[in-house]
Amino acid sequence: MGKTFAVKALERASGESGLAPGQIVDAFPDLYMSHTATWRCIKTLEKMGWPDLFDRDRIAMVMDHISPAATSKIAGDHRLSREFAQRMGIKNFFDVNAGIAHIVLMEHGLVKPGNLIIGTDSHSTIYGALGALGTGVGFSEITAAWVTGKLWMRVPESMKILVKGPLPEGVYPKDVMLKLIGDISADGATYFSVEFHGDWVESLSTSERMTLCNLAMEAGAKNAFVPPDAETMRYLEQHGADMATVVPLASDPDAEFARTVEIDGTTLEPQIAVPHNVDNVVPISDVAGTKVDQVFIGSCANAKYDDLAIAARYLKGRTVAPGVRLVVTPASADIMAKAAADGIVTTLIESGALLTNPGCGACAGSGGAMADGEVTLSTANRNFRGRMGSYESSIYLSSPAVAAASAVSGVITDPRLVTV
Amino acid sequence: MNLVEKILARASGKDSVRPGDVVVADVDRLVMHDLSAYLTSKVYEDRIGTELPYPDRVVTVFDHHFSPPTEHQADVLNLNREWSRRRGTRLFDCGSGNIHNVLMQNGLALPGQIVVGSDSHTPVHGTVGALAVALGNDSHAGTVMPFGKAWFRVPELVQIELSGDLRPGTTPRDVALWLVKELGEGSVIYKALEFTGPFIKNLDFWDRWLFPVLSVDLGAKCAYIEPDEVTRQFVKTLPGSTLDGLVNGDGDPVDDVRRFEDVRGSASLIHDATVLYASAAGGWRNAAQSVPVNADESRFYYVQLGVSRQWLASGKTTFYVDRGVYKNFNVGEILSISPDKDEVPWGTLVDTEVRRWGLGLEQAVDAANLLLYAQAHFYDPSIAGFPCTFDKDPKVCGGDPSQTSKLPAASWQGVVVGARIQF
Repeated sequence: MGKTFAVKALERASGESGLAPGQIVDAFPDLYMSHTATWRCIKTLEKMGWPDLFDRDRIAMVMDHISPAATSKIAGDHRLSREFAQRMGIKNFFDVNAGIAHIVLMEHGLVKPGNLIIGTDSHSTIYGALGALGTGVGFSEITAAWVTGKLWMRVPESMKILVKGPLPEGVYPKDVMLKLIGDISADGATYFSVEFHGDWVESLSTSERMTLCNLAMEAGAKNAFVPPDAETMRYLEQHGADMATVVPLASDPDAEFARTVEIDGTTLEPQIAVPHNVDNVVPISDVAGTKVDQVFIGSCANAKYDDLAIAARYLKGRTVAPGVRLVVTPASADIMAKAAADGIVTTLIESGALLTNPGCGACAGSGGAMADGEVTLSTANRNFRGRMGSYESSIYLSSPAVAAASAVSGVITDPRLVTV
Repeated sequence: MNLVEKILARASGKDSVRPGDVVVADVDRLVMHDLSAYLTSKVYEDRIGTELPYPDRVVTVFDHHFSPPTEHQADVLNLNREWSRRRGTRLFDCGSGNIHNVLMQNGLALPGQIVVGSDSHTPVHGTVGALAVALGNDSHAGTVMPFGKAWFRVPELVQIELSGDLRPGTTPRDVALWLVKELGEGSVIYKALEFTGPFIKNLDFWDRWLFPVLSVDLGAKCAYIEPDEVTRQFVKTLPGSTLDGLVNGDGDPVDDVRRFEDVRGSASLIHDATVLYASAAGGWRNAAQSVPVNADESRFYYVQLGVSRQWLASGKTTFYVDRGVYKNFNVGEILSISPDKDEVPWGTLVDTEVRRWGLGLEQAVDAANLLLYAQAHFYDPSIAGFPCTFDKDPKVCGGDPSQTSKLPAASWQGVVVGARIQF
């Protein structure tokens, strides 16, 4: 019987062999990420009496959730983290200008295949796009890892997702993921290591794979995984990863998967998650024509360079509908710079978009809040009630193509009906 | 009459007005941001609530809380949107930009107009030659919205005259900040300020913009720059703009003028009987031009003392010794930091003094109307600044003036040889 990726990755990280799903091991993560809430970890460290750090080079901090600071309280939190990083010599400190933690770490070559990476953000599953085992943990777990270097984990069972492609024009990886979450529900993959397989997955860019692994969290995944290949190596080299230390891991051909789910992407239509749960998914035809007040193109799920490029394609030469706000928040500073150099930023602004600084932005409730009764169509990964402002407002989730097409018409619009 | 008086006289239907007069004038534009629009519209609807007679004069720009950081602010924006739609006023939604830039760039504040607004920086529109004044929400709701009018007490004029050039590394913004310090916060309460002088005239529109915008900090009622060719060319680039309302002041003498300028001078003396030669030169610059050398002022002087006599047939020979001091003057060009520290801590200098002494020799060649000269100088600098920590990346320089220390600077020598043709 062959081994799954999750077993192999945890054997590597724990130094143990012969692991099986269900076992509990002490694993040594390669990277501990904490975001704007780093101050909580520091406060915990203070309660522990300032013990020595296990390995400061494995610590990464990104001030992404409320950046720049919206209040003096948050400015104080930022300063605490900033000064702590400086005092401790933590070189992987990324300030409020950098962008969303996940994207920034991958862009800086800090995420490598086979790595075990923990983060204070549930969407840490995204690191599977580069063949790493990424998972979200709590603040105190991160602090414990700072000090002990390790974290206990239960070896997860694995689930195989087989996607048949290619996708029709106007349909994107986001639609595949919404369809999957709708099909298996928000707890359909709870504590599973979710692996994406098939020719279509292999054909995807690393950025598109990020969307798959990011959204897998919304089905409950412990981690998500796309087998690393030549595209992965290209991305790593391009982003300055230390290639000498790259040891890709993948499931053996005869590894056991507790469940296999197949999705036929060839006949898929754009999907929408309707309020107030991510697994409340319907085909776009069910909700087309729903009036929107705000369209948000942002988040670690869908505000990468290619997402902005797709949006710009639908917005080129068009203007945002009167009364609709289009808020665009690039995922990282590098993405924003590239989009600016390529004219994408100009296209977006000329169409009437409100372009904000990179970061989590409205997805994390910072800027772009909604008033009572308002509706936002968002490319983010969560539509929970009250997440973006009023408890009496609604969030719909979609691909960037649907978002851009809808911003122009002012109602939820099928991008396949728009000429680009 | 000056520009403000002319605008107020025209808008109140009078032939002339004088400082101290109270007039009721027609207002061309009312501009509000998201916070004040919310409060003003509330007062208006509670107390008056009729149709707006001039809805096109009322402009709202969402710039303070965009995108709304809280649910409450999101509600405020929605109430503003709803009010603006209902009353037919013009709205610039989230992402349009800062209230004043949006107003100016859309041709909604033009020369000769009266612009009122709820933001304290509204006087910035005086840059284009408008009379721009910040009023309160109740004034807007009580007189501007229902009648298109507001009352004004005609302000006294203070002229601020700036001359001189910028030092390297200095921008008009530095001059503006320095000016606030020189004049003092709240020093010209309810005055009208006219910014003038060669320095202002040579600035482009958006650099001029930096001066009227600070009038609120000085306590002024309004501020302006006389419209000129720069203004005309700028206004032509604005959508739907017109120069029809443009007025200029008559240039009457102003009682209160504050001048900020350079002073330079030199004198020399040759006493033939005793062959004595003496020469002195000196200069003074105000602090604005001393930035980034962050001192109150800069000055230089040198004196030369020697003998001058016709020893050779060709013309007079002059020999002199020279002594000079340059205090915060031209240091940017001559500063020399010790070679083992190649980072020049620009912008961290606080106080510099360079002393020089030297010898000079001049020989006139009368037949050719030529003066040959040679000078040798020794310079001894004393430069103080904020200490920088160079072993950190990024480099950290202190910002506390009490912690300044002497920076390493080497002395140097200079030799000048040249010729002057006299004609």
